[in-house]
Amino acid sequence: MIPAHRAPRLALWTLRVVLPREDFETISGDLEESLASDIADRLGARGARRWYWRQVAGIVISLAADRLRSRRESHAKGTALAAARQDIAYALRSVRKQPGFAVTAVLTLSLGIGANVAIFSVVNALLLKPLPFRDADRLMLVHLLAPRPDGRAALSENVWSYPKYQRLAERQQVFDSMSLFGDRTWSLTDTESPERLRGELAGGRFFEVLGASPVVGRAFGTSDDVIGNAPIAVIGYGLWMRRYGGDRAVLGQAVHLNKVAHTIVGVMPAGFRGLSGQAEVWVPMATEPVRGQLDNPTSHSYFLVAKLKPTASVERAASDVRSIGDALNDIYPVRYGARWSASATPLERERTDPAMRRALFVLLAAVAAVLLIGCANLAIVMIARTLGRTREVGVRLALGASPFRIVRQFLTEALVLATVGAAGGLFAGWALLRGARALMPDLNTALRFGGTLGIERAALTRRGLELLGLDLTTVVVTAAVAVVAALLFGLGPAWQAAHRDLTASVRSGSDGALAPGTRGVRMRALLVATEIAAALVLVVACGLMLRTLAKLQQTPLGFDPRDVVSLRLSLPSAQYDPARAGQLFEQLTARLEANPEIHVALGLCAPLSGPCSSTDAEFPGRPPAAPGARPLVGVYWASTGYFDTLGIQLLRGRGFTDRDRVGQPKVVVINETAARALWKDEDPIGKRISVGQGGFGGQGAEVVGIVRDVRYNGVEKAPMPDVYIPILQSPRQGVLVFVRGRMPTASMAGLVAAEMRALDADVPLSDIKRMEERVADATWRTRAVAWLLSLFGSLALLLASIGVFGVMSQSVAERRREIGVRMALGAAPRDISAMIVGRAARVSIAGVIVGFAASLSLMRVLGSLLFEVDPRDPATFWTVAGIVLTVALVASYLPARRAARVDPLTTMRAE
Amino acid sequence: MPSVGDFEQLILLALTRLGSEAYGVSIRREIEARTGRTISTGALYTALNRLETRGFVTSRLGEPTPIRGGKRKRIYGLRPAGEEILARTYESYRQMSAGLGVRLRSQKSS
Repeated sequence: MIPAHRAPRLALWTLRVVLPREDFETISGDLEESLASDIADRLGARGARRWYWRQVAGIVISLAADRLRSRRESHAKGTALAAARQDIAYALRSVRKQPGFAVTAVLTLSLGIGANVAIFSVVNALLLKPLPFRDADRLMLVHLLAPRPDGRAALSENVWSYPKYQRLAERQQVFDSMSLFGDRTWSLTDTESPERLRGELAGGRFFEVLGASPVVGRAFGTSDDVIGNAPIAVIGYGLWMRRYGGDRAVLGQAVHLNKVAHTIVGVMPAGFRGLSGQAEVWVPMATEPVRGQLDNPTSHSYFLVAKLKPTASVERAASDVRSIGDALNDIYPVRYGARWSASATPLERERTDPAMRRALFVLLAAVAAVLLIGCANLAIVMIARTLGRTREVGVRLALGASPFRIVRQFLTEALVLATVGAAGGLFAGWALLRGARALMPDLNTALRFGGTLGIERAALTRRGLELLGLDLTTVVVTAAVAVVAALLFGLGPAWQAAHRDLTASVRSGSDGALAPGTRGVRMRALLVATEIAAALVLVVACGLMLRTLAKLQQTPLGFDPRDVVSLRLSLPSAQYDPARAGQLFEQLTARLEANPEIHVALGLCAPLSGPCSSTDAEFPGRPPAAPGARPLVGVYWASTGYFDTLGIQLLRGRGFTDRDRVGQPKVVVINETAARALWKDEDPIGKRISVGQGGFGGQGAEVVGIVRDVRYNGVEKAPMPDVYIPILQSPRQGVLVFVRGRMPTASMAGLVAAEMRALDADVPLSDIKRMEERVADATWRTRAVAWLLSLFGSLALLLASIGVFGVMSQSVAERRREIGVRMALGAAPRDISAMIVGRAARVSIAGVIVGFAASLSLMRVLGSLLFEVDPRDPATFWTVAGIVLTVALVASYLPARRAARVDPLTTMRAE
Repeated sequence: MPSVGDFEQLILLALTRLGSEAYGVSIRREIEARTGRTISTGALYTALNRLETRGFVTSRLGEPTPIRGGKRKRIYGLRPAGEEILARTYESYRQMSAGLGVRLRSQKSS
């Protein structure tokens, strides 16, 4: 017979979990029999279910109670767990008794831990978190090392040409697979408003190397990467959603890149943005030869990513690649005796700019110092609280509590506070990160760095910021930080509490006083001095960064960034040869100049955006120099209005005019540095210079003018000798348009867009930025570090002054009687104040000296983050020492005044 | 001298009444029917367990029956120590309540 009423399944399962097997059988049997025989009839189906659940709940509770009871019986003295529970209950009770302390402690810890969480999250994202590729630890970037054009000994990292890559591919034995790739921008021309699209040209094994597979359709492989194949493209998830609404029917459709139809074959998953971290479309490189032919060994255009064989080591890969690189010299000898080479570095190591890495470590150290100071403060308060409980502890010790038990109880209190503080810290860190994200500029632009042979290396592989956020690692690290913090501020006081002379404390009957010269007083002084030292180090670092920032802001940029908007226009090379492109841009300029409110100029590179193009210069009039001795110059293209529009001052001679065009005698303008470095005492005007760029080699061009130095490579980089060539004599297919006018960015960009549309509707505007923004981007890292260090430095100083205030207040409270006696014996209130401030001064000066000495050696780590500021800059050091000392003394003034107001009568009577 | 609580006494009494037919369901019914209080399986289970560890009762596994979904019973029986403590408790109870019968009953009815 099957019972009419079955037990609830979940309840039965619960019983099975909590009961031993045999007991489960008999008890569930009992319950089932009860159900079937009478309960179900009596209570109905629903009532019976409820009854069953009640029985199960009863069993679980009885079991738990029984287990607890039997444990308590078997270990009458209390197990570790029970004691811990007792400690926590006790800690909570004492926290509740003094909520003010608890709130202060939790707030201090939340701020300290929160700052640590925020900075650690950035470190985690940029340096620690694995890159989002399969077996990312086996990925390496392989660089071609190029002889520098000036023939100097140093090799510089370069990108590969296809033939050179083939030599490597044939001979290498350390990589499973490798793929060339390069970042490109295309104009997406399917709709009315063309869009600039970032993407990557990739070899056939690109997706295989990265271990990425598409969510829809297929990725392309080696069979697709064949010259002459019809163009295809794999698109990114973002583009798929934005442009195609996530429709699967996108496969087989055409996407027009630079007006060429590419058939979409696949869609990559969300979060996959290629190695540049910005790509939204991928095209097989063989179907899209750029910058010359694939078989041209000097067409250096591609990066190389490779996946290490599981059996090969990074070192072996590096040495293998180096020897293959050396062998390139047999096939591609360099004229002037320099040599090719090659190197391989783990992708992991190249993900972040070294200066950024340094900045992060400095910030991490700074937040750690802030937390340390906060902990010292809490320790000081804990000591005071410990003293307040001297008698209680004394009694407990006298009754036989072990010192260990006392230490543990005090530590538990610290741990409870730290746990709450850590929770608050996680929240604060999360909020900080959210705020920071909103404030951060496009970091990939900020991380942009310059290449060597005129090839712009956009922030490839300098990535990770998209990984920013709280995750398990952060939480675990936060927990660890909290525990360490608890130990830092709990251990000292706890130890002290447990090792005091108990008879004295019980007998004296006065809670909360430390006899002068005891261990507690010395410990307190030590803590405050440490705080002051740490705060000083932080404030010095902050001062040096602020001075750097000031230096950067004082540096003459050589141009006037105000009221200028810059934007990029690129014409597809399929439709425009350079001559036609030049005509179009001349028309565009003329149409825009018809508007009296704006001035327009064309260039190729914006100031402060990194090296544009450089080459070695020769002088047709002079005896030829040895190849290695030729000077290196920067080469810049400029239109007629360039110097006026950008506010670059003409020092001598003339700028370019519309008559300086193709067919006319070639002319150049040089900068001051070039005039000084290349001509010394001679007058450069009228002399000839030849640069191997833009058709200005050979007989060269006549120098017609000298302009002020412009900082092209970055604010902190000294100007090189620069040569400007007229864009009308060397037309380009892509230009940077500068528009000066007192109008909002959008209006000026709108004017350009309207005129451009009239000439060719399919050319999108990109990289639209005010020049002020470019200046801000160029100093972004310094500003961020300086700003954060100011924040942490002020916090440290505030905490340290609270520490001084706290200790001096405590000391005044303890010495009330002594002060009363002194005053009764004739000491003036002023003497008493002076005594207290003097005491504070002694501790503070000790802290300042230690901090000063520490800073002298520590500030070296700022190194490359500083600009024209000595890491031991005396002005900064002395100013900061003065500030810190003043703050400490001011903090001690209030307790000193209170001491001076002590009424001798009251204190004597209180005895 | 060991002693047992009120609820445990009721269980020991039930075991005496039920003889060889004492198992979870019958014990619960017996106590519920006679005292009118509701017995939770959990309380019964832990009490029986404790009585067993203290050596007052013994248990063995019985046969499975269909009404129990084919699960076996655990059948309980008194051990000499259990009989002894029950007798002693009853004796002291009887001694203490001797002559108070009328008053105790009237208290209940009032």
